[in-house]
Amino acid sequence: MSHAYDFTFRSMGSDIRFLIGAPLVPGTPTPDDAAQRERRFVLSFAARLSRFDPASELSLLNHDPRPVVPASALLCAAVNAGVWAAQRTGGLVDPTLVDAIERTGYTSSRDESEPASLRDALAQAPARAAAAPASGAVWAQVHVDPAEGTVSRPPGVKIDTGGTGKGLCADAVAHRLSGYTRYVVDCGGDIAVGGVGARLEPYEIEVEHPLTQQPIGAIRLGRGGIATSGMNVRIWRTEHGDFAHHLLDPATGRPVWSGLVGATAVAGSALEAETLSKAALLLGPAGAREVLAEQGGLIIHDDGRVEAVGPLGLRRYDSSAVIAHA
Amino acid sequence: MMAATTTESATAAAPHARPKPPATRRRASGPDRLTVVLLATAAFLVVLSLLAGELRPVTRHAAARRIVLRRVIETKVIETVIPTPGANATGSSVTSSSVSSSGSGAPAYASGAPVTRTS
Repeated sequence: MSHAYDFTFRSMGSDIRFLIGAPLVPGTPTPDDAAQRERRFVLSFAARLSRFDPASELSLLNHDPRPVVPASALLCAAVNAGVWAAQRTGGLVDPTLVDAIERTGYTSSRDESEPASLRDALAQAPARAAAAPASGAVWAQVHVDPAEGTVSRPPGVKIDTGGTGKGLCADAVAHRLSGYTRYVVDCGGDIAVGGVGARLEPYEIEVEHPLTQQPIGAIRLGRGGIATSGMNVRIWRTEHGDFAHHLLDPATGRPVWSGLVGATAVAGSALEAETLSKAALLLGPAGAREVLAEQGGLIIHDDGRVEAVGPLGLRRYDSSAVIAHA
Repeated sequence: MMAATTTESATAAAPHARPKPPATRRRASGPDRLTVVLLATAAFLVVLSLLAGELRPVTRHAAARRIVLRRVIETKVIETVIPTPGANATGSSVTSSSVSSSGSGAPAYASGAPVTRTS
């Protein structure tokens, strides 16, 4: 028998969940003590990196007029993660689109807001097109010096760590739980899995369909990360009557309508999985197949069809919903 | 005369009948040192070649030998989880669940499998 401690709380506008197995070494804090400790870490992580709190470390950085700004280790790591995601995707997952996202109306937390209908939004959406990197590549001018504890960027360039924050947080907590036999760290659907027990007996991670909110199937995962990006939660109707969501085309600064409503990626870490799932959704079906081919994933088309891509230990709940395995 | 002759003969033969010194007699009765050394060296080389012949097949088979490592890991934990007082009051929930590791399927948790979804 093995034992799992299951702990859920609310942070970062999402449900945060820990599943923690037994300690590997005597003297390690019990799983419930570890869960409480990691809960405090996540709450601090969220508060210090909130774009919506003007007193947060991230907001202070974004409004600092100096080109080189002292930054804590956490802020350095978060900005570094954003820059890394941009490098990994050739600028598609861009951490410098704060002004653009605010122009779409996403200026405050939408945790308490009911999302608009994704089906209605799809019916009104413009012609489908893949996103592209911004021509200026401002993100390439953002540099982090962890040794000096500084972030440098042209004054006025604002950074949003939200696109990679949950994956980074899941990985950080997972690292801190390495003294346990098995663990799952779920930060709003961006999930890190680890522990020797999980390798021997992998977890089955269910994937939720963004249109039906029903599980598509389960993916076996013994280590690494899995994440889903979609446009069904942070979507709203603008003052002009059209629809907007939080996944922007860096080239236009407008919400993307790529032909996909969701993408799930499996990768070596939650941060990478989150980055790849976003890139897949931004690129549309053809680009997503390339992005997910190496490590595997799922893409969900506008019409609800689910397509499995690459190596994937998928157990389908409804075989008719999955159309192909590339 | 006869006796004298006998005595003379005996006297004349006496030097020839005298026993030789011990060293001279040993050299004449066994192999010389060179032979002993050669024989010992030859015997050593024979034994060495026999041992080398035994080792050669072992080395030849070692490359093709299949080694199977089997690691058995068994974890047995008995644990009582007591929810922290006030934890639910802050919007958190705790579920304690036992998971069988003997089945072929994945763990089934009391509050369901982890779910990746849009957030």
